[in-house]
Amino acid sequence: MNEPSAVVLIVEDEPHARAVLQVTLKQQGYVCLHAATGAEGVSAAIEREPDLVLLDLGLPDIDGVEVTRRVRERSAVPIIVVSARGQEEHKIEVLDEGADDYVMKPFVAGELLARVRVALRHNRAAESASDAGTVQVGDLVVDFDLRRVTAGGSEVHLTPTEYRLLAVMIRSSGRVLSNRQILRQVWGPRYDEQLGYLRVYMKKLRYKLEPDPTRPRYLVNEPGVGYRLRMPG
Amino acid sequence: MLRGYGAALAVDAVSTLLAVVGEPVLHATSFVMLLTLGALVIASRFGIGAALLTAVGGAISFDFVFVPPAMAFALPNLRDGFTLFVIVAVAAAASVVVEKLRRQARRARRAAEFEGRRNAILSALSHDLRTPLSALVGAGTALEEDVLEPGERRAFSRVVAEEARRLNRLVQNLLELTRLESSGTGRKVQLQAIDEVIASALSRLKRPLEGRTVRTDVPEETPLAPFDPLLIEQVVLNLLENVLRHTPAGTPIEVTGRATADELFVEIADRGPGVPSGDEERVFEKLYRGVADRRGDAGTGLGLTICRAIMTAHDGRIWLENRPGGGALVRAALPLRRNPSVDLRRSLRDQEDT
Repeated sequence: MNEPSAVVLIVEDEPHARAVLQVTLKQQGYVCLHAATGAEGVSAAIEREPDLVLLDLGLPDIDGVEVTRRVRERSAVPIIVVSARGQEEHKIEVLDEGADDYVMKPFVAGELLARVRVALRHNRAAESASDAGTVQVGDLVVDFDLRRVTAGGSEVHLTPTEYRLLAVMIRSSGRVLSNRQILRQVWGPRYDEQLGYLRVYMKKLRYKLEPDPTRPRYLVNEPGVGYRLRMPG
Repeated sequence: MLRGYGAALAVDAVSTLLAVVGEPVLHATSFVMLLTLGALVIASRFGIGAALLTAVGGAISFDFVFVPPAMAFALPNLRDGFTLFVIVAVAAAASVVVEKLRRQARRARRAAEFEGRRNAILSALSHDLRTPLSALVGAGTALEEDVLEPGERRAFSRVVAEEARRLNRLVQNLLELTRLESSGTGRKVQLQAIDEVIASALSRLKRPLEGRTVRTDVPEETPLAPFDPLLIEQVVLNLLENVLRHTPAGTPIEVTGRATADELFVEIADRGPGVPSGDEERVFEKLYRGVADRRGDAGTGLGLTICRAIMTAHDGRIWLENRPGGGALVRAALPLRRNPSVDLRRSLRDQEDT
């Protein structure tokens, strides 16, 4: 299996939801810890040093945004938020607070496990601090040293802004980034409300990189939240 | 409005006539009171503009009839000038109060209509929740008791998964309806790309859409538009689910995004049986169910009703056409040149008028 010894902390107050998460993860060889409240979750995330935290947004004591903030003060552990549709503002807040990704309730096992794998891989990449010269996702290849982009084997010419946008997305590939996070990284902090820019440049990138820009394979939108560079498979 | 001004002048004419005819016996005060009464009535019926016209017209009449020299216009002295001023001031104050009351009453009526409409949809939806719930309870209990043959176990497990998904669809619509209410004051919405919303809806329905040819067409130059992405995605989801439910497996679906000078369109076309001629508008009514629901689990019959509520909230429109050559085509249009705020309260209210 993938990360046979990886330890996942499940912060979830509802016993059935916790049981389902636990069974799904254990089948894949992960080791599970759990916490039933936000406060317990914060201390477990810091003291027991899990490789990943699965955080439910609807906890009884402190809300998920606060849990994320407190964990982030002390730890860089990847955090995946589990939340329902309709909590978009909340999701954005948690992402901006340093959560790595989210899974929407109700989810199917495959979806959850894919997110978990991506988050764990990112953690390792961060630890080895290997900002590699070349990043490949599916048939997209970005060579950071040469500033060269190829899609399906042929070189694609990008404007400087398009290139910066793709670079930001591919460095976080597999993870969702909030609109604001992307705007800040690509255009700068004064532009974090300029959603129109982001939409227009995303479309330009899709038309240059995607086989079918109206059914994107890589640059997908998460309505109301942000964008994700989806990994194939 | 013109009727209001006409009525105002009529009130002035009648008061003046009474004043002139009754001048020998009536005191000027009576005229002033009469005029104030007239202005009040006009304010309550036609609003502040007509009421002010009544007062100003009345003041001119007062000048003509009572300010010496009588039966001629003259610059009033201080006392009469003050009376003229009071006539106009009283009429203005009265009509402001009346107008306020009118607005309050109108708001209360609209709120009541909105609540009524929303509650009707909510109660229908809640009722529909029981169908998948009872299937879940039944199948779940049977699985729990462990008395099933392996084949039955598999069948019941599938019932659980399918009914849970159906329950999820219902709850999602229920939540969107509560969003319609909670954002009632018309909050700001940001610029969105329709192709992204379409792509997101299609990817969320990836599994049920397997085996279908889905052709998408959104020209690159299609403009951005202000709308609530989750609500519009819900419209696309409901429309696609309708197609899946009402058309034979394997028949193609076309999803189009396009813009005219002032509207942005999302269109979903199928090659199913269409709707009975004459029912094109009725399908948007609450609880309309097609005659030939394929599996009898038509779901709520509320999908299109909710779509219309959402589109109306965006100042948009949605309608269905039968296609030449067979099949249905639903067109949803969003305004492009509008102040980007969504009055979600309007949605259910205006549905009453359609």
